Amino acid sequence: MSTALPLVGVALLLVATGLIGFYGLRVSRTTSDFFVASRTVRPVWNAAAISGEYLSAGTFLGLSGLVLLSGAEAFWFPVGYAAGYLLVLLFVAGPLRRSGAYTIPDFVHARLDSVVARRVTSVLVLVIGWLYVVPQLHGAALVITAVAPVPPWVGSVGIAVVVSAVVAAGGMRSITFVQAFQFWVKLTALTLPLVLVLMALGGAFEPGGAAVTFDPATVFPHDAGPGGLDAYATASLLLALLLGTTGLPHVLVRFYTSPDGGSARRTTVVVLVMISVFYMVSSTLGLVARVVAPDLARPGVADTVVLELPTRLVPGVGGELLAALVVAGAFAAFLGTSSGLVVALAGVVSQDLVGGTVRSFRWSAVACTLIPLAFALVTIPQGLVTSVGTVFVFAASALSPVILLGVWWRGLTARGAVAGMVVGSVLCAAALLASSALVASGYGAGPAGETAGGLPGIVRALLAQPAAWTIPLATATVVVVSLRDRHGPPLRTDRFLRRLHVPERRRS
Amino acid sequence: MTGPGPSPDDGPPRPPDRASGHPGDGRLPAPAPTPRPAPRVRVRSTDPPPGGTDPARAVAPSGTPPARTDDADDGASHYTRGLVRAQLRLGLACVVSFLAVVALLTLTMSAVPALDQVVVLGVPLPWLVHAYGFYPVIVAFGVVFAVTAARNERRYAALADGAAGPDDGGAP
Repeated sequence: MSTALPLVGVALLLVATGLIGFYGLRVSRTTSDFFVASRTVRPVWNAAAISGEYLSAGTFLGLSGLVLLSGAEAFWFPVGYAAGYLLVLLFVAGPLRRSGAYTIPDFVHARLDSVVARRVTSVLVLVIGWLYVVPQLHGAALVITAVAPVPPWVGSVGIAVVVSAVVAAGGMRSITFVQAFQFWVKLTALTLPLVLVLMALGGAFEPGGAAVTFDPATVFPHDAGPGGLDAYATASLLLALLLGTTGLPHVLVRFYTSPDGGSARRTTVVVLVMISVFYMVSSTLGLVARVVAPDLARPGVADTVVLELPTRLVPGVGGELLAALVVAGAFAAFLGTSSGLVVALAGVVSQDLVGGTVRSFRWSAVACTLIPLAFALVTIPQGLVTSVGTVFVFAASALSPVILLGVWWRGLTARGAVAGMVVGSVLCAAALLASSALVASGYGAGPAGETAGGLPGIVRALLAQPAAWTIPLATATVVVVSLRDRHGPPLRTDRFLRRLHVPERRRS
Repeated sequence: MTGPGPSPDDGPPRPPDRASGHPGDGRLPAPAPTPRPAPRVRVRSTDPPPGGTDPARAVAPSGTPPARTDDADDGASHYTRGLVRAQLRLGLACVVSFLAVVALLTLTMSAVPALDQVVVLGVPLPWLVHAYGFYPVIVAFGVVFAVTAARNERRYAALADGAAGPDDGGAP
């Protein structure tokens, strides 16, 4: 792959991002503009922006990489991400929009009338957000080394600089436009190469018109397919992905840009369609990768397979142009997700630690980019899609039970919420750290779950996929502590719950 | 700072609806001395009477006075509880049936070896189902939920309007 074209592609993307960002700067004048785009974003724009933010490096690069590497089990990730959005729609989209809060800590504070609960939530939101930005920066490092002879940190630092600049300059309003634009860039950057790659597989670019032939039983073996499914790991992962979306900071903040609860629901349906289409395209590239590029099925390399496919299959300058488009799309993925997260995190930091002004928001945006950047620079990239999946597991254990019960159960108390968040996050973090320590020390789970190092396979599975027990335990903690809390739910609970569930027209 | 500014003291609940002063507020006729007529209350709900089955209330009597004196809209808040229950039931029904469909699809594609022999465009059918089969289900459930939830809210609005109507006439 040549170096010049992809860099031109990235440069064009950055210029377009900057232009749209500064156009947004012109229209964002008040603090409220900065935080939530004044709640006047049109549904289709908003849906594209939500999708643009949600589709990260994990599914742009990581999905096809993992399909190539380990087979059909990779499809659970996008299915779970999309189903997680379905749960957001079913249980929180409308009510959270109506809550009138800007961030998850705002919501918890308003619902429970407790500053302690707010602070605990803020800390968890920051941890989740930072963990989520790290794989995006890793992805940028991976792509930049694949296309140019530069050290990996150039990609991470470059993304961090652009994200903090755009967010600090334009706030949520410009971010909305930027992300809506980047959604279409991402979708185009996968769909166009996919169409041409499929044509190539069908023989369109061969002189004789001969299609590529392969043996389905070898390329798509039964054991790597749905037949080789591990029931516990699959169920636990799906539970985490289903509930995890609800606990992601950048997902919830997006609903506040819808004008009312009903439109928040309609927007979410459009989001479901958009991300489903994207995941199907990305999954197809994974299937193609198994046919065309089995030589790339190595950890660390597999995630770059999307960049390789066009040049392998489409001859001449066409392939080079497509590859440049894919690289630009990948950077759109890093930028879109990171900037959405940084907006959400900077909102939390500036409101909780400093005055909540535009100036403090700007500095918070810079700080919220630097911390994950430091983390990304000192850690080694893992598989992108699994890193993102881990964040979902943590969010589902730490925040989702409290958010869901806060919307639907009037008995929730501040003590119950704090206890549940602490139990969920500590258990989940401990399990994940223990699991990675086991893997690092050579006692990690073998593919067949055999006993190694004297530790039964079931223990390793429970540690590697803790959601199936941490989420129920966290939820039980919330419920039991709330029920035993002598102080009871806050006085304004009924009024607040009515506000969440009653259509706006009825309320004012 | 203007507007709904995001300062820490602004995050928590907005001023109570009544305090913000909407004299014509259809749902909160603040000075309304007349309780809602009982028959109206029974029109919609299939649930137990309000306030009867809340476990939190039962164990936490101290901090929560049983009656909110400023909640003068008993009728409307009864409808509200009905709406909340209807939406929760809808959400739970959707998620349960969604999980059932997912389980069914998963079992079919993983436990029927004969499907491996069915190859479409070079890909075994179970792989195709796994890659594409779940998204139509997700979108379908999303559409059904959004439509039904909006209908629940319209029904609520109609009922609450009916309940509040007679009082509104006298409000300034």
